[in-house]
Amino acid sequence: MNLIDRYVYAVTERLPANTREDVAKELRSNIEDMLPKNATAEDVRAVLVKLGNPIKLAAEYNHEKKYLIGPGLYEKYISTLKLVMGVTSAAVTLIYLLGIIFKPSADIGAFNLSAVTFVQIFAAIFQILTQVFLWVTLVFIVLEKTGISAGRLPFPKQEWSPDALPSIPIPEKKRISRYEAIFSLSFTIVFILLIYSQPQFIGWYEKGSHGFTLVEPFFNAERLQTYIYIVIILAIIQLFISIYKLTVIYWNIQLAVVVAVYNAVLCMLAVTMINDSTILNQGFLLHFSSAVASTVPEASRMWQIGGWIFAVIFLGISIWDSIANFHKCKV
Amino acid sequence: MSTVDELLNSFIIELRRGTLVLSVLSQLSEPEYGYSLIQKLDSKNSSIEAGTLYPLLRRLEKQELLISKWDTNESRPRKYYVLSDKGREIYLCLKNEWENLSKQLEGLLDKEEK
Repeated sequence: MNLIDRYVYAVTERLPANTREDVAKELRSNIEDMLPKNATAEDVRAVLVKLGNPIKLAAEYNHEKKYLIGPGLYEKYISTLKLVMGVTSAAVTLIYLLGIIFKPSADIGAFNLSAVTFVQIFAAIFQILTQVFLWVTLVFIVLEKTGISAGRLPFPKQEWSPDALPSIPIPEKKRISRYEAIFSLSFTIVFILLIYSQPQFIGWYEKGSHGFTLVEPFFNAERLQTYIYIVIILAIIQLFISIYKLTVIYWNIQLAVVVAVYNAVLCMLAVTMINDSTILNQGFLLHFSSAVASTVPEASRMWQIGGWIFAVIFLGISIWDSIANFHKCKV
Repeated sequence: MSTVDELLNSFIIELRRGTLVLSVLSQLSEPEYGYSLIQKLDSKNSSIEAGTLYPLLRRLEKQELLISKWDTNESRPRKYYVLSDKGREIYLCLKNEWENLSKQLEGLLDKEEK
């Protein structure tokens, strides 16, 4: 009997909790029916062999195939994973090396590559790759579960119609540039790493005895902290958009809408940050004013004007980009 | 050669799988429990694996084609399955479909031989 208990348990432990008891009772009764009277241990074995591997039997009971990322997206998932992981490894190495070269405290100086440094780089790469793996997988799970990839959104109930077929030859303009998507993906990853782990790298460098060294960071670290989460969230959305671009090949209206909304949010954030005078590190301003030989208020004004020019250009590019995307869908 | 055998085997399994539900429904106008149904099908030369049948019965019940009832009067409790109204309706439609299909196929196969 012991063997039957073990078999029934092996099957039912793989089933949803609410069906377990009933299946166990039924399976046990069926097994006992299959045994001859006064069954020996050999008989029991024979019946269990006939029923087969409990994992397979449990799968029959569960029936519905359960998966996170289906066969339709699997190839894209693997190729994207490879691409993103490759880019990230390169980016982490680069940032790490830059950190060594431009060390703020100039005590050690330039190249100080040792075995320890390499171990540190590998540890950092490993740590970040696990993050990247998680995020890319999450993006694909969302693509799979929401049906975005199957083109069912935003009208999940709508029947497919032949009108949805693009005219051929598909104009080159409608195609999403793969290089552009890969570039924006790589740029976003480097940006996230930089702003999250080493925001002080963006700053004022001076040529010293050991080459360039970082004197003053550009951002006021404390102030930057208040923006960091929104910046990171936006960057992750950008990551999502880039990966989606890699999977769909052609522009579609949903993508254009998402990108337009994203651009709008990005513009609002950019304007807010430029408008915020406290985000600029005062020490950086001091170095800047002495470099251009003017007073601090003047330098501050120059930065303000520069900031607004930047904002206008940024807005212009964003609006142009958003409109161009809609145009690409229409082609 | 093994690939031909494997292919053939997978085609046969696919063919039989298509008729599985129909065979099971056809034998359930009277209540049966898992093992009695296997014996019944066996006696009509239409054997089915126990590991396939038991889960299938539960699935058909979930789809509301079968109604189940535990009988605890006998020496050991047994779960009996019988066709529901919906199940009977579907069985008759499937049966009809099968007869059409086998006629069609007969026509095709006969022509092939001549």
